Amino acid sequence: MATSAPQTLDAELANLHAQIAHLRHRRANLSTTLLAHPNTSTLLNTNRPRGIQKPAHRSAASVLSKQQNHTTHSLHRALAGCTAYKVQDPDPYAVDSGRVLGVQIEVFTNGAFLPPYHILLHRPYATHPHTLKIHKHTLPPCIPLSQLARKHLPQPAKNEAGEPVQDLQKLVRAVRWETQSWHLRVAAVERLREEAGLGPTHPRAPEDEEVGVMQGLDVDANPGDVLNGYVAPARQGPRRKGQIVAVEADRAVSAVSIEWAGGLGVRMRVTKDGEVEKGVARWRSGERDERTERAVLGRIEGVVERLGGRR
Amino acid sequence: MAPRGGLSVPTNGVLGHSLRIPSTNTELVRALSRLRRESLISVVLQWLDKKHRNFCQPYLYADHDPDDAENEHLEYDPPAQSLEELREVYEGHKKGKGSRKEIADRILCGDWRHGISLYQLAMVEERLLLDHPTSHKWYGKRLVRKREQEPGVEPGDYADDFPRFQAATFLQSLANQLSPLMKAHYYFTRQKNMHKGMGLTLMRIFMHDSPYNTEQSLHDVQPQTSGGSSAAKAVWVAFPDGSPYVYLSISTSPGQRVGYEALSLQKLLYDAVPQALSKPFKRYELQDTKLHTRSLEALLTLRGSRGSNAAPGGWSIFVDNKLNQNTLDFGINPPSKDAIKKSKPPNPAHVHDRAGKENNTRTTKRGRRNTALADEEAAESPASKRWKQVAEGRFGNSGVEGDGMALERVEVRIDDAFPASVIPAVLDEEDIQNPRPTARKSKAYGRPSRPSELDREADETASTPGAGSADWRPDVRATFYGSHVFAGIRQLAEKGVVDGERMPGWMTGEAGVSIGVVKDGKIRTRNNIV
Repeated sequence: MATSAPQTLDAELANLHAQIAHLRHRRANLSTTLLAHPNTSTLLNTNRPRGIQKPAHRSAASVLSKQQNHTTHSLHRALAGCTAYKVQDPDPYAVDSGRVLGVQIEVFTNGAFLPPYHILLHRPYATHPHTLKIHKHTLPPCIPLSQLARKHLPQPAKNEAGEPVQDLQKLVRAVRWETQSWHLRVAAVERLREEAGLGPTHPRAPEDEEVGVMQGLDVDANPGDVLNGYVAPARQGPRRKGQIVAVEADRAVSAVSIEWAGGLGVRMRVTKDGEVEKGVARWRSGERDERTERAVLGRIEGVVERLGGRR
Repeated sequence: MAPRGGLSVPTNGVLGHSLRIPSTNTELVRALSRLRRESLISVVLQWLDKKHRNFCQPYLYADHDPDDAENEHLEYDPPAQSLEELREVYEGHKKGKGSRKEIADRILCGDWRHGISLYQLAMVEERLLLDHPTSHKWYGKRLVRKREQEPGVEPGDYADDFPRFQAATFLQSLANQLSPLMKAHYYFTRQKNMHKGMGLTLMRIFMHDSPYNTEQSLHDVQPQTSGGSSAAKAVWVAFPDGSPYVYLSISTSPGQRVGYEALSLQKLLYDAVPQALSKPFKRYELQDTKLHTRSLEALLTLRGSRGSNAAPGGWSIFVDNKLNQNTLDFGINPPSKDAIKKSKPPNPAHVHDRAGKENNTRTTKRGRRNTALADEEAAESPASKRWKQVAEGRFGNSGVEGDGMALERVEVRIDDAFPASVIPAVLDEEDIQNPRPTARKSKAYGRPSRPSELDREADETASTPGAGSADWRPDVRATFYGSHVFAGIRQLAEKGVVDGERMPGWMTGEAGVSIGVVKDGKIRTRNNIV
């Protein structure tokens, strides 16, 4: 009894916490529904006696307006995809007395919005007071931001007096397109892995990671041969692809590779909008498999199905 | 296996995985002795694993030469009969038999008495690197296209600025470049989840200054280099996934002296890395990103594949997205508020107290701990509360121990003119000099340090107009040491030692560099877009 008591108490506690969380969520949900309902504000206005403002009314009105503001804000974020805002840089030495323009870029995949990306711009040039420059950003390096900035947000040259023509809208639009298409490609590769019966790329268990496995080099082959660029020919015989053992992509998902247990590997180049542009299929011995290469071309989404690797 | 004592001809090849170095090698003995016991056993079990077995052959009974005159050792120290038997022996050690020293002796004098292969040595060093993540000093370098050599290509045309890294191709190209200069052994390993899901490909290069790639040459070199200059001949190059950076290691374990030869070999290697990644019409070179640190985590955070590269310091709140709730969350009382509280960095005061708390019993009930904390918070003066808020505003979620941005040495040179009105500004520089007891002016006193990289920049700035103007610009340098420099500055700001509101931005780590020149209160960077 005494030994089991802490356990049961812990279980009870966890249960209660879960209940509280659930109820909180429900309350928030209900209050939002109530506040967002169009009838609420009309009722509140019509039932109010003329001239008199009770504190309850006032607080209700303030909550209501807050909710309305939030709804508008969220709608803008969801529908426009890019939201501009102002930031004050706390650094006392910041240029332009710390005024920073932020742009928030939303990305939508798999029925949900991902954490947004931010681009923060400032105006560092005393001689060109309207010229913007990217100060900080939170985009991963596989998004070619610096190239896009060079194109749409050119910086003033050293011995030129005029301000360069900048187009922030075009830049943001281009960056949004890049990020959105990147996330779609990432999601497509994840789906391919699912179709092939493989787990997700980043399993949440860091402890069972493999240490000391050579990558890219064929460990089974004689190491000296591999290092000298020569791979021994495989055994001859009827070839079967077998199951897909690996679907991998680089970070930018511009190159995707699929490998089969039978020793066939396909590498394909994917364009930014998700089209497989080129593909090379090779057996381990080095022979090309042209039928597979032809089947690879097309949208990235159905690659595994087209290659007959679906389970 | 290469024929021992056979023909030695200068070749173009590489050092094979299974070439053995004698088990008396001081370097090898030192590496093994630094491993923890359980790591040692697991490494040996990996050697005996099917995957690696080919390059890690132990000395078995079948290997002994019956005609050898020195056969008497077989009687008192018989070699194992089979690999399975050895496996069982080491599995037995795993359960607690034998000390670390005994196991190391058994490896060197017993089961691998004929020598340890280069592959095994590489595995040992890999384990050392993972066990002691701060044992190497890393340089964060960026791969950039060599532009001036490609006329007619607009910078905007570079759709994909960084090369695709393919281990086998890269290795071939690197070996082709290096083999006329030295013989080297290459070892690749991959960490899938080094820090927050970011992968890292590590390459170890064991450099061998000899034209031969035979086992004999490895033996011959041994006596000359036992003085320690061969120590730094193995270096690591790390390639983070999907980012244009390369990390180069300088091994700086204690007691190692890096000889001139080793340095020149390293330089050859580092020059060869970008060339090996280049293709015709796509030439790369390495550019220093002014970030040198011992922590791979910091490198992965500041020069990795995530969005945290260009928003360090206080700007990291934008990366963590603690600003606003999810777009589809239409409630005004967002549940994420709890999340903010939870993910808030632990209060440094609490961190400070934690040590004391752990000295107490660990069985303290949670409730009691909470009340204790509440008491502390109540006892805070409004001023200290204000300092904390200011620090929170300046540092955001960064500057906390364990945030993965631990820089242990930050050097700055302050290039601003000495303020004419002495009143407020002198204070600032004083602050910079004295925030922690370990911070000191590196040039004024102390040991004659190595030529700082800041000096080189001084030459660059000397030619810029304005440097020779009437303002007095004293040569002020500040160096911060510590386990986590910016966490230290944050703590000082919270204690009110550093004025959090007037502190320049580079003191919050928002430049993301470990060495830099301060001009107009900002660290100058070559290109802002990282």
